Amino acid sequence: MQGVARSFEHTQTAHCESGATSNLLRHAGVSVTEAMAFGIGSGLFFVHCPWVRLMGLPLTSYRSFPGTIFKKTCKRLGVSYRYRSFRDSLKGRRALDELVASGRAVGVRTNIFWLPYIPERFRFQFNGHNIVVCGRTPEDDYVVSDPIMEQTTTCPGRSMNRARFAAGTLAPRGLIFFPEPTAGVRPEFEPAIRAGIRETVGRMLNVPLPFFGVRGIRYMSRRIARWPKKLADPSQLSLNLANVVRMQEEIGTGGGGFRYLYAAFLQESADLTETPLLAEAACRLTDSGNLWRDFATLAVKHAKGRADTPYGQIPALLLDIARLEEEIFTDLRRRYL
Amino acid sequence: MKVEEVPQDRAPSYEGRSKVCYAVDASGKIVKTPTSGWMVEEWAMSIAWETIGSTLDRIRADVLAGAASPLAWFMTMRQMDARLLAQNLGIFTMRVWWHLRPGVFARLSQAWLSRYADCLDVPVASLRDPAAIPESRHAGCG
Repeated sequence: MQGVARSFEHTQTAHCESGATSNLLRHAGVSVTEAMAFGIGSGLFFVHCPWVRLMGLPLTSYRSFPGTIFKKTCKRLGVSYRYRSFRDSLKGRRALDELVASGRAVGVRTNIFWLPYIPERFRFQFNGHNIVVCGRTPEDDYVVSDPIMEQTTTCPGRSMNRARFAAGTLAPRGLIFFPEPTAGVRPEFEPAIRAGIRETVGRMLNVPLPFFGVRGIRYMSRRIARWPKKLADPSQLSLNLANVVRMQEEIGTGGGGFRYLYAAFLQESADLTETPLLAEAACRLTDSGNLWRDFATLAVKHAKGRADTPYGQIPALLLDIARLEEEIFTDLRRRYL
Repeated sequence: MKVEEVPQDRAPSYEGRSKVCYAVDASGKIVKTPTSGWMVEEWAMSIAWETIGSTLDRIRADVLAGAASPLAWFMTMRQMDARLLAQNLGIFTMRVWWHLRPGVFARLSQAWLSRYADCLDVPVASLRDPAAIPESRHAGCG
């Protein structure tokens, strides 16, 4: 077997980008948990924008823009990295093959639809799935450490090429990313944690547009309240509600739209930096994650026509979540930043 | 969410595997915990697949009635619309719209058929043959 597949330590994680970042950095000699990568990389966010459509439905996202977790985590820990996309798919293929042959573990952005080892019902046309390629088999398949899978797996070259060069929204364009060797790097976690939290707090509280952060949660509440009237077709209402829940749970968020994962980061940071107020914030954010799970349950029950509560509870619960998250992040700003 | 509250619903879509989520253990620590699935997530996903399934069945009926080309079905089966298919092929969307017309598609050259078949990862013979289009497996799931 070619490459570093034998020495690459695969760890299953909740989310692909934070998992790939954590696994790649650990392989390069900097030990960072997935939670720490997610937090330092300012992964937590919220967006609901009906005017940007993904698969025909209003864009809803619970995290930051793809690619930013890896880059920011590396930058904030003082680790150099390579982050490169390709216009020419042949060049992109060769670049990956050369890196793997030279013993690198390489982060790769893919369209999950074309990865044959993914369970069939998870294979949607979605261009933001991050994996790590760490070797080639004697049959020339790629050895893949996919962070959301339990173990490493293999992927035929033809499938990998389709997945890497698929078109569409956020097309991966053969993107590869990896940290440079970290010998001599002394990561300073406290400033990295502070920078990560500062950015997340700013983005959740301060973006002067209605679609983002806490304002975005309230905005989505108002939109959802109007959906039964606005979307004349009940099946469209079901689709819209289901899509929000899918972005919250299915795509690999650790539960509660990344809120539990971010709480794990805050808790780990509290221990590392001996800052008890971060542990308090972790507790409260777990409560928010629980409310998001309640929201998901209500929304899906209505989407399936099995609701036993009034529809109005769904937007009302979102307002509760918005209020709680506003308190959490305002408190962090006041007492920590 | 506490560790003991993490759903273990053995969701069919997980195909016997498990995902990771984060939950609070007995000592108050937030830890990685495996989950075999949550029915809420499963239902949300099933709504998406039911929609795809019923769209595919509608297109299949149109194909069998001669009102749509097999290309329309295979394109939708790969979760593409004309625009995405065109982007994947590196051609103008108008061209795909033109080729989608049943009469035009029936007269399409072998070269074009091969391009579409390769892009959609289906055998060329299937692309030509309306009888090769199966009924949707996903209709009515969940």
